[in-house]
Amino acid sequence: MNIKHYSCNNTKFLCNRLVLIGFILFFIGATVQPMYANINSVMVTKAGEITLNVNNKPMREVLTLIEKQSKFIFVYNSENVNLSKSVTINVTSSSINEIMSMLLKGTTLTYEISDRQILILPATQGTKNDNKITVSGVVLDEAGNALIGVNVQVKGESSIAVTDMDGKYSLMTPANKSLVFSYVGYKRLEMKAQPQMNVHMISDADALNEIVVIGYGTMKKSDLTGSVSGVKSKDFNTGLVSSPSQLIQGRVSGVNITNNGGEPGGGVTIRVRGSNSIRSGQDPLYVVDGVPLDASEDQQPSGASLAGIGSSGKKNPLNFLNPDDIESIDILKDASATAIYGARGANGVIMVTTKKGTEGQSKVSYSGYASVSELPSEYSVLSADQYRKYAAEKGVTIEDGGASTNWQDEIFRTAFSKNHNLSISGGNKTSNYRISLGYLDQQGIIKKTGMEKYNGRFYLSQKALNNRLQIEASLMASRTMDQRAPLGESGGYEGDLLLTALKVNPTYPVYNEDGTYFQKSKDVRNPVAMIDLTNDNTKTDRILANITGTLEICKNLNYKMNVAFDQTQATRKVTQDEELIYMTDKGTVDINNVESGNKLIENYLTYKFDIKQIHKFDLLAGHSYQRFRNYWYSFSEEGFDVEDINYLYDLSFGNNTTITGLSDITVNELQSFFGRVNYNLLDKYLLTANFRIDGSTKFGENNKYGFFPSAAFAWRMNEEQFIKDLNFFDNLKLRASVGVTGNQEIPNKISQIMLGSTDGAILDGGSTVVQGITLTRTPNPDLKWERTEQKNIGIDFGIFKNRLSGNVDLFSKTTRDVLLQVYSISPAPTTQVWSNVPDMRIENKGIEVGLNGVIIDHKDWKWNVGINYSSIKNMVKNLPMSSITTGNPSGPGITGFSSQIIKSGYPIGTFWGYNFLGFDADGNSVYELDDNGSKVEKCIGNAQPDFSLNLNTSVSWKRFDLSLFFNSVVGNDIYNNLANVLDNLSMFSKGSNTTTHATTLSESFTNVLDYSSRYIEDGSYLRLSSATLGYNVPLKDKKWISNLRFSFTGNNLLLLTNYSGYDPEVNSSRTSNGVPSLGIGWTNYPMARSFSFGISADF
Amino acid sequence: MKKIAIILYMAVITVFMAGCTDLKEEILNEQDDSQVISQTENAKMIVAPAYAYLRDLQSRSGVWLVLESVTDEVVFPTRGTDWNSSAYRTLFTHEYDSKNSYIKNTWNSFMLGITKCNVALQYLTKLDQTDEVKNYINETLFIRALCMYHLMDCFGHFPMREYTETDYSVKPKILYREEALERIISELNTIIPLLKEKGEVPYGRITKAAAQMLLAKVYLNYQVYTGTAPAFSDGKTKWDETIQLCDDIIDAKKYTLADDYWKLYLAYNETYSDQTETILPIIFNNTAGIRGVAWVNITLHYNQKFGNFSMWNGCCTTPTFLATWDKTDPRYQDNRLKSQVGFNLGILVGQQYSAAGAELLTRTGSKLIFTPEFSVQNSTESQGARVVKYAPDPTSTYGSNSENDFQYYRLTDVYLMRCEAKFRSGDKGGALIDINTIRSKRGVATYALADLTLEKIYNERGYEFYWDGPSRRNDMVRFNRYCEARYEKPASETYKILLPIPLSALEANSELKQNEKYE
Repeated sequence: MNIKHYSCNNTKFLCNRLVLIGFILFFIGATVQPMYANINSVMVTKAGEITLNVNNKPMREVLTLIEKQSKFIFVYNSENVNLSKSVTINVTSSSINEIMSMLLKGTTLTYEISDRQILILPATQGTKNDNKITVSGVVLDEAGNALIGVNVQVKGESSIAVTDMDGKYSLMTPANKSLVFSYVGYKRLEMKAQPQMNVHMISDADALNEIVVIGYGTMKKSDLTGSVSGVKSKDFNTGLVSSPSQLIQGRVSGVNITNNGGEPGGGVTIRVRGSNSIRSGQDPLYVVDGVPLDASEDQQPSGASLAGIGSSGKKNPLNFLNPDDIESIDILKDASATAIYGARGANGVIMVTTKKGTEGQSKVSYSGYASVSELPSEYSVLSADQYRKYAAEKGVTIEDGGASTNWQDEIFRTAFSKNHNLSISGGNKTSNYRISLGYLDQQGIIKKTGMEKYNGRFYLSQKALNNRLQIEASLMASRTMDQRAPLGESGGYEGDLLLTALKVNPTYPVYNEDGTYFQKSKDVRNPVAMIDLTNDNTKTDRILANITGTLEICKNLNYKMNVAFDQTQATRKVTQDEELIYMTDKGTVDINNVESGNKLIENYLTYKFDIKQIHKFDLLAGHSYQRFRNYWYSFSEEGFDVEDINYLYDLSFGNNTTITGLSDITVNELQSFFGRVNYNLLDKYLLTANFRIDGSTKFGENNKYGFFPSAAFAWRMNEEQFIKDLNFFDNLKLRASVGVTGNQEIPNKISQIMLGSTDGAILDGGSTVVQGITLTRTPNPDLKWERTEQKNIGIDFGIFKNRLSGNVDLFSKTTRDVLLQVYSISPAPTTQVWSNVPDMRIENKGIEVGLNGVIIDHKDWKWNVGINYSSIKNMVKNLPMSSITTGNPSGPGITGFSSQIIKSGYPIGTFWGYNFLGFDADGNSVYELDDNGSKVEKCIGNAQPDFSLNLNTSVSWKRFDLSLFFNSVVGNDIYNNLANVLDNLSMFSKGSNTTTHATTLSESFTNVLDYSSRYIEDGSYLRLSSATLGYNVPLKDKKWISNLRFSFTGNNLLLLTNYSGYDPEVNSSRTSNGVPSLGIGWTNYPMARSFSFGISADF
Repeated sequence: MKKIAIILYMAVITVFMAGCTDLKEEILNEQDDSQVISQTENAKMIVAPAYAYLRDLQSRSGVWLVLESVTDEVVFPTRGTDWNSSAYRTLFTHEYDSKNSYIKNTWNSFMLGITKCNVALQYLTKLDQTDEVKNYINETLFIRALCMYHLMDCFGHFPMREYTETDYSVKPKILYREEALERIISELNTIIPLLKEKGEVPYGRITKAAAQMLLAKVYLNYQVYTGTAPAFSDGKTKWDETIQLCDDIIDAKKYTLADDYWKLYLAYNETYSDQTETILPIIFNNTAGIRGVAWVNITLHYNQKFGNFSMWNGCCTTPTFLATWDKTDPRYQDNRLKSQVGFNLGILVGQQYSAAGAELLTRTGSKLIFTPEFSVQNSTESQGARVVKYAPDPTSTYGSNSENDFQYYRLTDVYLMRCEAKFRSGDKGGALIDINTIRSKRGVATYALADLTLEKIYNERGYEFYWDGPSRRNDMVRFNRYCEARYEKPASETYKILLPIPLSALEANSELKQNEKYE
């Protein structure tokens, strides 16, 4: 046994013990606080509203009641503040300002709020004089225990006191100065000096509102040095939302989220600060409660293969999460934030934090909605009458099927959806829990499509060993059932369901007289038959379990271990009935199965210390190991010709002796070492340095480990006297960061040489095939990750008492060592080889602006507005080849083109083709020609937007609230591939339907259909993405129900765009040779318009 | 103290964890065949990829397509919304450039062929040198020489690796035309005496005659390779060497001219080919999983479907080529399958019929009449004369895949090469005997001595080998017909004789230079 092996086992043993201890602790220690009746006349609702109903009570008692129920703590000097006055007050408000002003009305007292502490002082004190006073008092923590060693400093001066063993302090200060209390792990406190000041310091971790989740930890927003954007559950998008990505679409600047279509649970394209890569693998890393997920598309089983339809779009990999379980989503954008995820950080990191229990009474919550969805508007193809009339007018022979069918009506429907979520949560000082169940049944607006989802989640946190050990465990289980129709993202001239519905002759009937489907031919299909005779069901089960143990080894030194297990099992079963005219091999069954999973073990240490309260350090060091496994198998069988039986139930009805079976497996591992130093000088200057060393099995022999460092600096300028003197900024912070991250999302096995079997040959003159063996891969042992260097400079500010706050970030990202499949130096075993292209760069430069304003903050009226803007300029430089082509158009006659190219000096997503000028006298297309008379191919558009601008606003009046969310994307182009097939007359003459627009053209019926600027359209849009009207029901008796809210939401209510397709938010996957395309519109599942009615209640 | 503890703790964790994985990639679904290749009994598995490669010479998106579409034999015109690709059109009009994807495929095909052979040689040479292994080495050397020959013929120069050079990140030596020419000649001369005769190896394997024939082709075109376009008159000639090699093949009497021309092109042509004149067949066998090109589908009209075949209405031939024909020549048309499929073999013009004899219609309902005229830029559905050279098996259940063995080299070509070499070297009488041997075998009138011209020899080659693949481009260059203006094609400059080196190859290897005058 070698030493390494032994050590390894030892660690595993240790880990196992820790896990075991954790489990034991849960079951012994998990206690649930009993519910206790609340008879106080001060109530705080879930939403943070304080209800005050007191009758003639001394003010002091009222304050105590508020303290008990709310998060606020009152500080006053009983010598000069008289609180014996009795007050009568009945109010409900979420504004503490409002409550305080009512409370202190008619007194000579005033108040000052500093975070959770409310200082009550005589109104005149602030301006009295500048005599020196002696301040003394005690500093306590939240539990009332004395805090030793707290720094008490006169603001702006050097005099400092430190609390003693009993938390006591005393110091001299000018009377109008403020004192600053600071202590590691607690929120800084700043209050006007008074002779007697007993203060409570609040731990950092409690102030959730201010906390953002970063890699391997959390941080106060004010201490952040990097660019991190967080969205809390209250700011999530509302309405018919089935996946987490939809919750934050348009909410964060610099994060471009595009729905690939409107299919329930459909895929999304997420780009954090632009496209960094050329190949696929540009998706951000998802981390759920500290567990980096494998969200790759190969976890989804593919469907049946069928001529003309193409492969179906991928679903959103995060569908397994229940949006109702999510507390917050934080997006790490700059290198300082993402470098801790090293070789997976280059595309940004999306940190999902789930809800946990809170200390206090147990709470049962229910929320649910029912919704109705419909197609906003039909694509304007000719009706049967228009079709006949136009053909007669133009003298085109058409086949008249004698019927009048609106094929779109035949495939679309009004869809109904419902959602229920139930959760129970609670906790005490040492433990908390949350259990939740969710159910979603979402119908799609195309018949026989939809998604049904069951979610269950269990979370438990328990402290033990004198609070020195904290164990957290979470188990998430979900089942998703997708029902799909034969819709494809590419497909040939026959067309998928939607293309068929649009192009098929509207005079054809749906059914023959004998009740069977009218199916013209293999190429001219019947969309109703396609829906009815195809069954496509996917069942995905996913379990994500993780246990975290945090052990305080000694004060401020914590050891943390995170063990996670993520397993997905998905099966897709497709049957196609033999009655379908295009089934040449009678009925078929396709069963595809994917088993995919990953295991994670992470160990890390954190240590916090300070030197004389001036230099504060927070250190992190750790190790992580993650193993991914993906296995799929599939089989397909044909030859079914029985009727009235589901083929799946008896496979022996088909040609079961000739079943085609396939399988594939990939295994890869990632081993990493990481560390971070946070240094805080005087709470003004913040420095962060991160590094991660990532080793991956995917990399070549010569480059197993990559090093990803980053550093960031932040300057809290509002702490500087000269900024304070301006008396303008409530918050002003300058941030700057620089760092390197990587992208390792490359296919498996590509670095290695491969001697494998290949096509055989007959060598004996007979019919025996000798299998061949040859090199089947050109190896590249130097293969490594892509490196993305990112620089970021940003400013955070808050003015007008923080009623206007915001941030501006400028960034520049440069990707080098770009991984590409380039042409090999022939002669070589394969024509292409994976390589890190030297000198090549992909640059993204951008600006992000976020603004939040509280315009009205009144007792009855409140009005907030939030805006975010981002603009990114993307550019490819020094591409070693003249261009890389991608985005091949689909449909009849336009194959063989590439709509998009990647070319030096142009952004990714550049459309390249002929420049369409109009029609000549014969009705043939005229294109821009060069001097030699050849058609010029040039840049005819770009799929990346100039900018995106999103606006959300909420107005509340008493118990009503209205929120609107607009999102817009401006300046992007879309290649309307669907129009290229439909919006012309060439196809009409061959029996296809056409658009009403095309009938106005002077085009010839035999015009050649080229890909050209004719079908490049402006994809800019403004969408009223959601509008919600809510009402909080006033509850007289809150004994049983503490909160009841009704809401009415409309999604996709308004869309302003010049795009002629169903919806400009499209992105059909037209990956060619591993290079994805952008902004191609095909028969994308149209976006629905939906209306939802929701209820939420807390018990 | 605390710090020391931390450092120690971290050190411990680091050491423990570092041992957990060496990050060696685990590959579970690929068989590592390094054992297999070290065993002599597996020699045939090592040589199989080189033989399998030969099938790529029939590719309709690579070698076959390009070598035929640049001539007057084949054109893929755009038809309204169908077959709309400038890569097809520019091949025919000689407007091709270094970005033409089909030319790229052609280059890549030959390059892959060389590597497939090199890998086979690399492992074969390490085995015990039994007779079997030695023979496989020589056969593989032939296939590699064939690839080199085509590269030299089409592209002029090309990069070449020896089988011992296995670091694929190193830039290989570039073989320029003169050097390549000498190397091919020398390699063929080395293996000719070593290769087996027909009968000594099974049908489908490389024989001595195949190598002799390739060498004869090199000599026949020697003047082209060493001379200046368009006439090449300054080039060196090797007519005698050509004649000598042809004599060797003919005099060995291993092959006989076929009595039934079309029997060579039927679906199951292997037995007849073996019995008669085929020198280098490329085997296809649907039942064995070796499926051929959709010969019928790419040319016939949508409504000419039969059995399991569905049609794509693509390529056709040209009036220029049709004009060379005597329409009574049996090689022009053959009706043996008409009762089963409705159409004739050979060239299809005029009204088309179903198997039952009914007049077929176009998709828009007019009569389906194939007209020889077409427009390369935009044709109607029924324009262009179609060609069915390789006959389908009407009862095939394999859909579009053809069954026919590919006639790469036939004895007829040997006669016609000798005829041409004799004619060009002044032996008109000898030439006449050779061409008339073929013409009488085919049942057409023989020529008189006075009538025999180079053009007649050129045309005869067209009658024999149209749509076969490897011959027409080469012939057009040698007979100075390649660049001339013809139907739907303007005259092209002589630099077009060499195809452009694909941009992808230039970009991968900066030492490779583009052929003159190409961008």
